[in-house]
Amino acid sequence: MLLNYLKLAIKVLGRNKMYTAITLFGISFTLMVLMIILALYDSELGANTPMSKADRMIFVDHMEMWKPFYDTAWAVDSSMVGDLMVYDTTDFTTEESGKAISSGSMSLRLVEEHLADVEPMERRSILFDREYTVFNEGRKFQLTGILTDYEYWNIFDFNFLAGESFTLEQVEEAASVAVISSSTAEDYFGGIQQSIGQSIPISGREHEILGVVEKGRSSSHYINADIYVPYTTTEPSILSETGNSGPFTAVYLAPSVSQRTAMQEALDFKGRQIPIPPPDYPGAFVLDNIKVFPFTQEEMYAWSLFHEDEIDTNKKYFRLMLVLSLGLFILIPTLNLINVNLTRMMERASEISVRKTYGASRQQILGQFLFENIIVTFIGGLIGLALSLLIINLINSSGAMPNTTLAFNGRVFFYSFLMCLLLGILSGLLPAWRISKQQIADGLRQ
Amino acid sequence: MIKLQNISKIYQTDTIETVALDNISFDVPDGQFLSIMGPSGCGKSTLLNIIGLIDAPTNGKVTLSGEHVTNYSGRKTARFRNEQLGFIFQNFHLINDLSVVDNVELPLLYRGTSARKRREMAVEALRQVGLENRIKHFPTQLSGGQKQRVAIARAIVGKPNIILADEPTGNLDSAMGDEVMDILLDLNKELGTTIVMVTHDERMAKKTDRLVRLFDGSQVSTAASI
Repeated sequence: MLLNYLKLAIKVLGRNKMYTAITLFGISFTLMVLMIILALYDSELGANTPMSKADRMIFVDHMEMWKPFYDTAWAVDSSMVGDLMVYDTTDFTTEESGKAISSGSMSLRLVEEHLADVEPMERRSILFDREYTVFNEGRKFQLTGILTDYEYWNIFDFNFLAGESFTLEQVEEAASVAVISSSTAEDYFGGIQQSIGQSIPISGREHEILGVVEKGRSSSHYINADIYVPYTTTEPSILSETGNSGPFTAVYLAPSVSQRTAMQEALDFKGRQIPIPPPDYPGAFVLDNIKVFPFTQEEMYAWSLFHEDEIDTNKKYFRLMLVLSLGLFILIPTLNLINVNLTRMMERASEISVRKTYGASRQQILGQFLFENIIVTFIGGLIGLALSLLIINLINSSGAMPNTTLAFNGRVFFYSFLMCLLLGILSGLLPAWRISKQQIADGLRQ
Repeated sequence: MIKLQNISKIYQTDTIETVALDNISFDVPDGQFLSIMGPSGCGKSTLLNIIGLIDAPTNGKVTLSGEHVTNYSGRKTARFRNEQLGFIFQNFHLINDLSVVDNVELPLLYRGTSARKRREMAVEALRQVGLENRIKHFPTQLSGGQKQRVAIARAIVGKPNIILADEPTGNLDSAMGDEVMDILLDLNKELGTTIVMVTHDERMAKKTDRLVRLFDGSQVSTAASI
């Protein structure tokens, strides 16, 4: 029976070429957009190297410090004595009138004294980024650097194309060593293998290249850099900062995915225990609260987009945005296809009546049209697949998203396949259901 | 045996009530070739549709092959039509996107017959109507007479007890009409299939065993054709 339906579906497609072209364009274009959205989502938030363990990670990227404002009110009591005004009493009252919030990343001291160890936790790393300008053979290079520790390489599973990472000892000794990205190796040294053992001048010191890593697909600034150096090589003033503010971000790895929430809660609790330091400016500003934000990767992404105070609000907005954008891209073509399908099926009213006359049940008619629709959707899906591969290649090679590499993998294909099926079923179900209800005699009169 | 008892069909809108059939009763014994005649709009096709379980009567009872089919569920009706009835239409109602043989296989498709068996039975039915050399053609490549012969092959492929033909020669010239009529007469004589045919053509009606005349939804006569 399916073969019969398949033959018919192919014939119907060939019969009205204009309709077929419009339908296939609608489906393939929709799927292409969906696939690119999914590929982008997968590149940014999927478990890809060097963030394969993203579902076990928590990032403490920033903190907030509240400083209350105080206003002083004067109450003067005076009276006239002859021609003179005499001030009897003057009262001063100081009241809190508002709060100033200072937001930013943390000092090394804050992380090491108050957020060093939480339970459960497998590893912790610290990092910060900065820009370097270096010159080589008269060429100027603007490099993004990540200054980090040894654990960084255990948390983020970079793919080393040559050499290796720096060691714990090298970090402790503030050794002038570096790991570079493949693009830096190509641009600066002319190749990956030949860059190992060479040096690059960073902050006035020659850093020996120990390893070359493949660029990650996500645009996350925790992993995207041209050069990676031990954080201990930075200025001593940054390392010895006694206040709370500094350039550091802390990354924590939970022992397992299921323990991540517990680790996040533990970090939140630790953050609340940070003692409030003495007043910065006695009498004027007194720090009265510090809050750190332990975020998952998705929460970080959502926060960077919406900046709402409540973590859950950011997440809700982010997911709503995803669902709405995917929903819109599914809903609009689905409505359009429902319309086109209904017209197309109405043209086949006589055929449907003949089938019913000869014993087709309503379910069989419904099944036939759904099957035809799914076939059409799959053909559109294949075209959409080819189009998405083309566009993904174009986006990657054009540099339109310099820090993100879109990839089309099995996961994206699987979800796109599901979307394709959903589109086929949704756009076929309503027209097929309506047409299957048609009275036989009505169809035979056409 | 087809048994119609007090069949009425009334189409009702908010303001108008139209009586399409009024208290029709007659029997068609097994193996009889009955024709129904009457002017346009007298309810012939409606009556045929009611016998064929394509339409439901407003009142009355239909008994086919000893079964009271009037209150059958949708699925049971579909199955009964598939196994017991064959249909031939004035406009042929072939599916233009399917080949001749695929069109003829249609009733067997909903019976769960295997593909190979379907093909064998469809080719045999086409042989019976003299179109075995046209199996891969499409309906648009056939003449009117050939199309109706394909429709007859489709009607007989499932070996039904009853064939219902709604003006089968109405769209054909007299030569082709005679050709189609001869096939129907052969089926009736050789296989003993009961046939009920609606026609406008007095000449065709005279070739059948019995004639029922309708006028404005009422049965005005039932007699043996002469």
